[in-house]
Amino acid sequence: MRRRVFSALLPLLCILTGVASAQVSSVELIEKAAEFDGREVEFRGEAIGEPMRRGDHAWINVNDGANAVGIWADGGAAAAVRLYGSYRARGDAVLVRGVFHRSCPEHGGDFDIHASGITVIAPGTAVDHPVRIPPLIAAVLLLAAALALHLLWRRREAFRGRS
Amino acid sequence: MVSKPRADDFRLIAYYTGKVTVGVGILMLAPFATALLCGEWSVAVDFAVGLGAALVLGYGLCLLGVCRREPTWLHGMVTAGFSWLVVMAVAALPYRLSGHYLSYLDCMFDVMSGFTTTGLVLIQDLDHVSIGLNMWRHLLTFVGGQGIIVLALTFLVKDAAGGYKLYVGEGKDERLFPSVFHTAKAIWKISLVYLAVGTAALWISGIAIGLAPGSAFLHGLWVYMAAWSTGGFAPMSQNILYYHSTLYEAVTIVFFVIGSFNFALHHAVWTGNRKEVYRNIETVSFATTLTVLTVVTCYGLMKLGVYPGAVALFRKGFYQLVSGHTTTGFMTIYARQFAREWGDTALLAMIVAMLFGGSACSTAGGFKGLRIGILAKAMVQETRKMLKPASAVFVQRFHYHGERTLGEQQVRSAALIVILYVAIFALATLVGCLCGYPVLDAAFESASVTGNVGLSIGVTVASMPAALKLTYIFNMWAGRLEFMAVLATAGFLVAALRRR
Repeated sequence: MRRRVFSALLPLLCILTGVASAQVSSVELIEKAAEFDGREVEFRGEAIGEPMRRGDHAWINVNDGANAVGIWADGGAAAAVRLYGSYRARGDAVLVRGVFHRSCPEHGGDFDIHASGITVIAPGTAVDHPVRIPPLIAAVLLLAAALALHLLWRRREAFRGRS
Repeated sequence: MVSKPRADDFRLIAYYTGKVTVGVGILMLAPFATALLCGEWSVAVDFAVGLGAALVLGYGLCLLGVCRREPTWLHGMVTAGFSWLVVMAVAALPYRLSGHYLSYLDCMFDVMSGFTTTGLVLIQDLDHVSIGLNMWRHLLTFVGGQGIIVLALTFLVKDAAGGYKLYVGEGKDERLFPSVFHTAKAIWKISLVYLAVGTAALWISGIAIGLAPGSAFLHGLWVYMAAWSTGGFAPMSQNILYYHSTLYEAVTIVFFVIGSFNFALHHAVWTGNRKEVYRNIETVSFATTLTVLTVVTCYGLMKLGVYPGAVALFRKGFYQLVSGHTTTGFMTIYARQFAREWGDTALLAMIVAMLFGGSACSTAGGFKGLRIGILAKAMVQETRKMLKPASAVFVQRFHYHGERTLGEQQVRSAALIVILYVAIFALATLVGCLCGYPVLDAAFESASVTGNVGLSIGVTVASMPAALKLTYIFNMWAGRLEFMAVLATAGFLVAALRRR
């Protein structure tokens, strides 16, 4: 019960504690990159793809619905993310706090956030893709028609070849 | 003027268009099988619908088009132009069924972008796309690089005379062998050998940068397909920025630069003539324009202090430039960063690079290095003529798979194609401006679609006006086919609509 209450209050807590650092979207970061460059920011979105470990750090990419932004995090912080977004899953929704770089000198000019903390604000979920019946019926009918036309065409070609 | 087409003309065009459509249908077996292997059942059904529709239409056209006449150049050209439009509509079906697009027009835009190896996308929520659909996206661009007609010639068309006319209609006129079928097979052989090498290189690089082995393989395969075909698609919405890796970027540069070279040059190197690389007018032209434009781009970026050091300048400035010049369209920055940060000088250099493009008879688009080289030689010749006595005779030579003498006809046809490219570039820029975009943004995006590049400054989004989407589809199509097939198709349609 305590855990549930904590999970429910966590987003609110994050918003309240986010006063010290600017809460930004990817569009704001891209459009006003110079303004936010080198500043502590908070960025929230869905972790997508997979983590890419580099030594004791890792790259994770977080998509806020408009763009995905690269997050450079130490192994411990990155390990907090359990599920990454893909065809089969909605990834963990995370709140990243860290320093934004318009053109990171440490990472060859990458547009990134060096995370000081990553908090999972909503765990990801598996996504089911059931087979829809109308396309299935259409597929069967079209493939049957295609087979019939193929056989007809082969007969025509054989006839042309003989005459 | 083309005489009014008869029923036989329509039958011939329908017959060859049907064969190309069947070829594209058979191609759908690859994403269909991928979806089945990955347990993506609903995706497999989408591709079964696409496959069935393509085969029904293809065989239907073949049956309608049975005819005993020999195809002429006009038939070859019109078929090439028309079949690209038909397969665009058919190949868009699995896109529409995937639920990742807002309209059928957006689906057709992405198919045309893939087939023409442009690389601009209107797809929604790319980071959650299935493996099957990603396979289709990248296969489209890989096949488009070699040419869908080349695909049909390899497997489905057996008629030699008609085959060559179709082949030329698709904007390729190099014959690596006397037989057009052997040429088509050689193009596929070159591409498939590089496919194995490139996928392996990117697979290893992917594992080295922290991707899981399975996804490193798929990313390697897809990114290689898009690199070799100078396509620019990538499986993730951040494009190449997703990988955050100098190594990965360097490997992609190698393959998209090689992909932008003429298939005849590859064939020459494979058959032992390595000197051709240094002497060929296209590679010389590409090296020259790339060097000059790199200097201009770097100057523009350094003047504004956009990137903090040489590594950043290479990974961001040079990468986008060489990606644009080879008409690949891979990006390691966000589209809007061009508009917000790069400044006019670097953007102008990018526009010129995208219009210049890669080599003739390659997977690349744009004016092509051969035409730029020919026009540069013609300028030198004309200047020399002016400076010397009127009685002096000049012979201008250039190296293009052997020493050749520059002739009036070559200069005229090169100038004509370049003028047509500039005309459709101006048209799309104008339409962009009329839709309310700033002139530099409109010109950048227009250069990108005209040269089949795929870099974006942020204009190409699903919410852009339908008129602009249609203009961009036209430019991608016309630019890829190098106008002749498009002009022939337009002439044929006008003649068909005439009363007599």
